[in-house]
Amino acid sequence: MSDNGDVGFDEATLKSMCRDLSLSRMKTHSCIDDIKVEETEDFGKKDETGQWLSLIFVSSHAVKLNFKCQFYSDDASFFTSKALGKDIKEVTKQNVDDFVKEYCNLSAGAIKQSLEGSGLTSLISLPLMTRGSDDVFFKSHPRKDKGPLVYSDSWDLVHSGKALTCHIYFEIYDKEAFQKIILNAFGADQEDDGEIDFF
Amino acid sequence: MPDKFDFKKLKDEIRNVSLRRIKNHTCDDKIELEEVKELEGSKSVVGQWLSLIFVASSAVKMSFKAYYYTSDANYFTSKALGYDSVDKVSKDQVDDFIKEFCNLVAGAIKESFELGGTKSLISLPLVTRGQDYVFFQVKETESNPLVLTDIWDLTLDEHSITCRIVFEVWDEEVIKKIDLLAFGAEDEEDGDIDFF
Repeated sequence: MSDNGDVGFDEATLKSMCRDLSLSRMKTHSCIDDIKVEETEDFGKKDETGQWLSLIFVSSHAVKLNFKCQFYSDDASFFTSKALGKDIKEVTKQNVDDFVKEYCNLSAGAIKQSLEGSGLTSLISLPLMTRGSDDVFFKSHPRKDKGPLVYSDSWDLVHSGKALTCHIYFEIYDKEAFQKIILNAFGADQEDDGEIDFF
Repeated sequence: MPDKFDFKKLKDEIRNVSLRRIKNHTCDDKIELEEVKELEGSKSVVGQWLSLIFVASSAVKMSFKAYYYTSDANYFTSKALGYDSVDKVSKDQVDDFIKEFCNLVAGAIKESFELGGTKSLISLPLVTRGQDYVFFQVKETESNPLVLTDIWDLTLDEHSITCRIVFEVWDEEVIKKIDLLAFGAEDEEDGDIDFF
C-alpha cells in the first residue's frame, strides 16, 4: 500500500513480487516446501514485547528500502531447527539470529540484484538484530509536506502454525527511474513467457 | 523560554557529557576531546566499526554514533577492564564496551528530554560496519525537520573514538524547553551546570 495517491507503478505487481521473493528465499533457506504467505495484521500492531526484529537496508539514488523480519523466538527456532536439521531444543539464540539475519540478507540481496539489473547502482547494509519494539526507530517521521513517494507491505510466512512477519518499505526519490526498474524487473519478463521472473 | 535555540550550548553540553561518560567508563581521566573534520573526509570508513543508538519522541529524533577502528577501541576497552595488554581483549568485549558507552550518552540525553517534560524512547545500541553509516545519514535541513549535527573525537594516548550526534527537530518549541530546563534552570539554582 502506498501513502501517496498516484504512485505511477503497478503496486499489485510489486506486492506480489516482494511476497513471492521472500517466500522462495525462505523455502530454500529453511528447507521447508509448504510455507504459506498469509495476510498479517498491520505490522507494528502485534504485541511487540518479546518479539525480535531483524532488518536490512538497500539504498540507491532513486530508491531507499528496508526489509524487516519480526518474530518470536519460538517461531524462529522452529524454522531454524528445520534449516539445521536439529531438534528444536538444540537450537541456540545465536543459531536463530544467524538464520533470520541471513534470510534478510538473501531477500534484500535479491532486491538489490533486481535494482542493479535495471542499471542502478545500490548499496546493501549488513543485517541487524534488535528487539521488536525498536521498530519505531526505523520508521520515517510522519510529514506534513509531501515527502518522498512511499510504498510498504506486510505479510506472514506460516508453516505448522509458526509465523515470521515480513515487512518491506520503499522510499522512492526518483519516480521515473523507479518506474523503469519495475518495468525492467517485472514487466519485461512477464511479457516474455507469461510468468514473472523477478531475478 | 528563549526565542532562539542555542545549539552551540547544547553541542558543548553533549560533548562534555560524552567526555565524562567515557572517562568513567574507561576509568581513565586523561581522555581528551578533540575537534574532527567530517568523518568521510579525514578517515577511511573501510575497516571501521560503527555503534549507534536512537532516542525518539514525537518532537525530536536523535541518533548518537561512535565510529572506531578495532585497535583504538581495544585500547579503551583494555583500560576499562584493567588489562595490561590489548591482546587480551576480545571482539565481544569491545562491542559491549562501545555499546554501553553509546547507551550511557544516549541515556543522559533521554534524561534531558524527560526533564523538559518530553517522554521519549531509547533503542538498544547496535554495532555494524563503518561504511553502513550511509543508511543512517540524515541530510542537514533548516526546517521540517530542523537537522542539527556535530562530530568530535575522544582521544586517549593517540587512540580515538569518533562521536557523531544528529538531531531531527520536528517541534522546535520542545527542544527550546530541553535547553532551558537541562542547563539554564539548574544553573540559576546553585551556580553550577548539572546537565543530568
